[in-house]
Amino acid sequence: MQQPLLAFNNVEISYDDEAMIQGVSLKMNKGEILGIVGESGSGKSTLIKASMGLLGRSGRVSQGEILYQGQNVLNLGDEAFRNLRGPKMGMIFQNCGSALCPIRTIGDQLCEAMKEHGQTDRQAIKDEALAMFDRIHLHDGDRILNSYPFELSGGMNQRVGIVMAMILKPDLLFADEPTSALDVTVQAQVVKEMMALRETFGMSIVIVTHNIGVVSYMADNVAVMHKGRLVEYGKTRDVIDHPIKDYTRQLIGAVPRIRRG
Amino acid sequence: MSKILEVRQLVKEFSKGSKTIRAVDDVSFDVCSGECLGLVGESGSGKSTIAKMITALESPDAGGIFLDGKGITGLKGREQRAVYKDIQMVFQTPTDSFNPRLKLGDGIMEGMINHGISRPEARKKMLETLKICGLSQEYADRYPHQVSGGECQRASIARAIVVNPKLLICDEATSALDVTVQAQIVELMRQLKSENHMAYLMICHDLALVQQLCDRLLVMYQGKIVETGTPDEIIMHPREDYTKRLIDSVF
Ligand SMILES: Nc1ncnc2c1ncn2[C@@H]1O[C@H](COP(=O)(O)OP(=O)(O)OP(=O)(O)O)[C@@H](O)[C@H]1O
Ligand SMILES: Nc1ncnc2c1ncn2[C@@H]1O[C@H](COP(=O)(O)OP(=O)(O)O)[C@@H](O)[C@H]1O
Ligand SMILES: [Mg+2]
Ligand SMILES: [Mg+2]
Repeated sequence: MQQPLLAFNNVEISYDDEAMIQGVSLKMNKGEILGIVGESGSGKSTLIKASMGLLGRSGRVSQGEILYQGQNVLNLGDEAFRNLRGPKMGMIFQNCGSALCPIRTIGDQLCEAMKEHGQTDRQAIKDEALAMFDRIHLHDGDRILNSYPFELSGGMNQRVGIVMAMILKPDLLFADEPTSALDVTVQAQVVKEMMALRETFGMSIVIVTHNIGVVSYMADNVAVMHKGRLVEYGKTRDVIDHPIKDYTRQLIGAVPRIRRG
Repeated sequence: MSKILEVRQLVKEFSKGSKTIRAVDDVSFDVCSGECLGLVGESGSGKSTIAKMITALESPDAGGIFLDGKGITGLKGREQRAVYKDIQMVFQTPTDSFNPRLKLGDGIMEGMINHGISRPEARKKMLETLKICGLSQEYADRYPHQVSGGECQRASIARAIVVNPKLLICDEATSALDVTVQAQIVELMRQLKSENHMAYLMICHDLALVQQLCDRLLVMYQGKIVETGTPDEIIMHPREDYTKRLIDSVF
């Protein structure tokens, strides 16, 4: 048996000592794409933040373990976590605009992030970023690099967050609602880009999204969260096409579908 | 139906160094009472900039905006406050609607109190509206960073509708919500539309949702409106290249 890349064993997470997530067990292998869907407020972002050591002061994992390559990340100090974040685990934040620093240009922030991970050639970084921007329909990349976040649209900031995370080619990418602010032509391109990174670098991806169509297309396995618990978990085709649990059925039943005549 | 909002030949430019971008390029449209007008289009095509000009967060470089026939650009002080009771906005990023230092409940009550409603009455209305938006009473005492994106978005919808605006601008208001909550919000919007004749300008990337809710649709590309019609007309028979690509990209 291959050792899973990431495993949650009976995880409970509390905010201010009140359990918010209970009894979550999940496993993903290298190269796998795991989709997490479910209720707003059910704890999807919380699961990701816990894996990245980003729960903040009020939150903590109060039971169970989270294993990255067999190592319990909950025992890691801040320093060890910092080394893991970036090249090993990357994250696209749900709210990219506010995850960026408001008073520095995108280009500076990008170079700084890369420098922390040993890449210092500004021109090379810029060239790669520009090529990536171009592939996800940001054709005036130079302007983007010279802009401050407030000078960009919601969808532009989201794409900046995507490029910042993907340019480091992390082994494991957490993508929290990565396409929610994008028009569907750009969404399709971003999905393609993520799939290509898995193809080329064997990148594993955890994608949280409300877009059941996207999950259905991308994910190998799907986890459905409801009220802090994992209600259904299995192969994408099984979960989406033949949901067993009431909540999953409700969720899939509520997906608005486009009428094409 | 009477016209509530008229937007005429609106232009907005931003300059960056030697380059100037025309974010909004000669845009005109109307919204009638009880109507839901959808605004879809390319990311970066100027949708939020239009919303910001209507709500006076940005000022237009040219063109006019009229509410009930009265020009509303460049108003100040009391006149401006009176107009902006009638126009409310729900932002793309829900936390933008709230002061991070205020509890959600206080944030929702702020507008009512500014318009002279007593505190106890405002509190009562606030709790009722939270409930309508699917949030229990305890959320009134939470800070914006203590709730999920979807919960914060429901609170910001409560903040906007609590003052009974004539026009509600929703900028990607449902994109942070799961589809079951989305359906509840859509139902709520329908109800306010038929009972209170509330009008909407709905900026949204989800074409299926737009098709469910909107009476009319504008498609934007590079600062301009490139196509208008009913959602069915546009989705079933798109004319412009960009619109065709948009519809073909839906998963
Ligand atoms: N304050 C600003 N300063 C400079 N440029 C700006 C500013 N606000 C917006 N822009 C530019 O104006 C254009 C339109 O932005 P806008 O936010 O209106 O797009 P949008 O249609 O809402 O896009 P999205 O769907 O991604 O939210 C973009 O090119 C953006 O970079
Ligand atoms: N810092 C925090 N303090 C207290 N409660 C929080 C905090 N962050 C999130 N929560 C609560 O935890 C629950 C899960 O939030 P989240 O993981 O963001 O949900 P989602 O599934 O929508 O991503 C929500 O009920 C939210 O209100
Ligand atoms: Mg979330
Ligand atoms: Mg926008």
